[in-house]
Amino acid sequence: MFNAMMRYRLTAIWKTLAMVAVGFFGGMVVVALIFIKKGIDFGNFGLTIVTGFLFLSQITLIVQSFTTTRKAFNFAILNGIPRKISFLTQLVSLFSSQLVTFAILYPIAIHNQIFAGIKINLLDPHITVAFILVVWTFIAQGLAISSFITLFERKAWVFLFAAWLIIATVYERYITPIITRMLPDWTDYFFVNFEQANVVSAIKITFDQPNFWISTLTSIVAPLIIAGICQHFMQTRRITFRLKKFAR
Amino acid sequence: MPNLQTTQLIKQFGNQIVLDDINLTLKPNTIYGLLGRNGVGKSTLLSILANHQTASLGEIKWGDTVLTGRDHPLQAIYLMSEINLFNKDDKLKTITKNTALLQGSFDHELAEEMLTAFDLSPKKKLNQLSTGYRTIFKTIVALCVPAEYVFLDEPVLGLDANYRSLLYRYILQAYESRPRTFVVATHIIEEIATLVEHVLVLNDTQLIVDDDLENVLAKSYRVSGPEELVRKYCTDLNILDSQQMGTLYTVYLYDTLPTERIIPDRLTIEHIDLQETFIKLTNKGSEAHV
Repeated sequence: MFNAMMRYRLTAIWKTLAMVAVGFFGGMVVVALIFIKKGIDFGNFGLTIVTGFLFLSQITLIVQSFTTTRKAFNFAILNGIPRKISFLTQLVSLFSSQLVTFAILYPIAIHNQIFAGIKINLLDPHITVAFILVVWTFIAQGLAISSFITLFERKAWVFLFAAWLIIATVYERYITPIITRMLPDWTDYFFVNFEQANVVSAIKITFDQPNFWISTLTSIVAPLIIAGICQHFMQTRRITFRLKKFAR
Repeated sequence: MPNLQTTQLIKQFGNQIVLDDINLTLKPNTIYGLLGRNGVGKSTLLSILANHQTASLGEIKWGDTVLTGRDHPLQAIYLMSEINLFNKDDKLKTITKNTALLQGSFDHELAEEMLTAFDLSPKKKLNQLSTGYRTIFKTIVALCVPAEYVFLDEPVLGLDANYRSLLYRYILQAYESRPRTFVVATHIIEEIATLVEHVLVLNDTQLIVDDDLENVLAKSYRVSGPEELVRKYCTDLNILDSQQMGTLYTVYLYDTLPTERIIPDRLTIEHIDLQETFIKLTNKGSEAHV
């Protein structure tokens, strides 16, 4: 069951990536044809395509973390796939696809630095890890939000999203300043002085902060736990009975 | 294959009770007809049994195991309903391929035969199909999966008479080639009377009939004649409805006729068909107490 569901999810993800690639490359070819008479550096142009697709593929995967929950979950339930397997395959397929696309495209794309005149060593593991962590954070957030919305079903999410927006705004505007005033040492403790450091040095300094790792891992792991809990309780009597009342 | 059983099942949406105290046992290798008027909870009941929705209260058992909601025998139950759980942008062949992948096996031969018979191209996308063709396609998939309990919720929705007839033939063919349990929820009662073995009737949130078709038809009578004689003969019997047309008084019964009672010469007693029985059983204001 796991293998079947994994194959189903990977096919869907890579099919979308392939379609995005075709669309992107097609668009770039059209651009090249338009500017061919004005003289175009094809070496630079080719690498720009790769860099562009690197970012596009990561964005596509982030979008897929939002869109592969409800439909795939429903299709899995229809075909007798337990929700645990459904969720595990969603995690593995998305994160592994991210790593694969990154591993393929990033080494090619970093050659752009020569043409773009960037002097930073983009092959530095700090930059690589930082890039992956950023994408993983977005994917994890996407999974949590889409699972949470799916748990509530129907239009309840509109109500919940509005409530969340109001709470977040009130918190940011009124609660945060109070906390900051009450605990002034916090800001000093978290303050990192980058001074004249370049990007790599700044990332290195950031990586040295234990708080960075705590907050980063929390922002990846916590949403995944929330997503797992939401998907675990989807369509089971313990939670949905009460929550579905909102959905009506 | 174990029985699928519900005990005191209740489903409530807000303050509205949709299903109340449903006690039902679905047995293997039987074709059930699930009948009920609009909005009585047929689809809700099927989706609860298939674990697409949850019950508010009550128990669902798979054999002797009480199901908690997370250990449902999902692979053994397949629900085809009007809700579309397929990706609308997918081609039909992609959907069947994905279904086969997740189900582990799939009757491709029957699927191809049915697609040809219904003039459906597998290269078409689901969103290019009309309501009727979408229903046909979903039913084709339901007949080709290896599930032991297949719930068909309105499998003839939007189908013309020719296709309905063809579809019933394929349901029977699928059943004969591999016996399994089908629960067919429909409003076209006279047509499924030749298909089903067991009848379930939902009315006003409750299951009012759960019996073999043979027994249901055997208990359904129309008694007509002079009012006095009809009333006397039908005393203490379960009367569903009564009509007066001139001097002719007609009573609809759902009961076993007492053998010891002598039938007066001027009385006419005849069986009624499933559709008429259903109408009399579920008509609001009639004297239905089964």
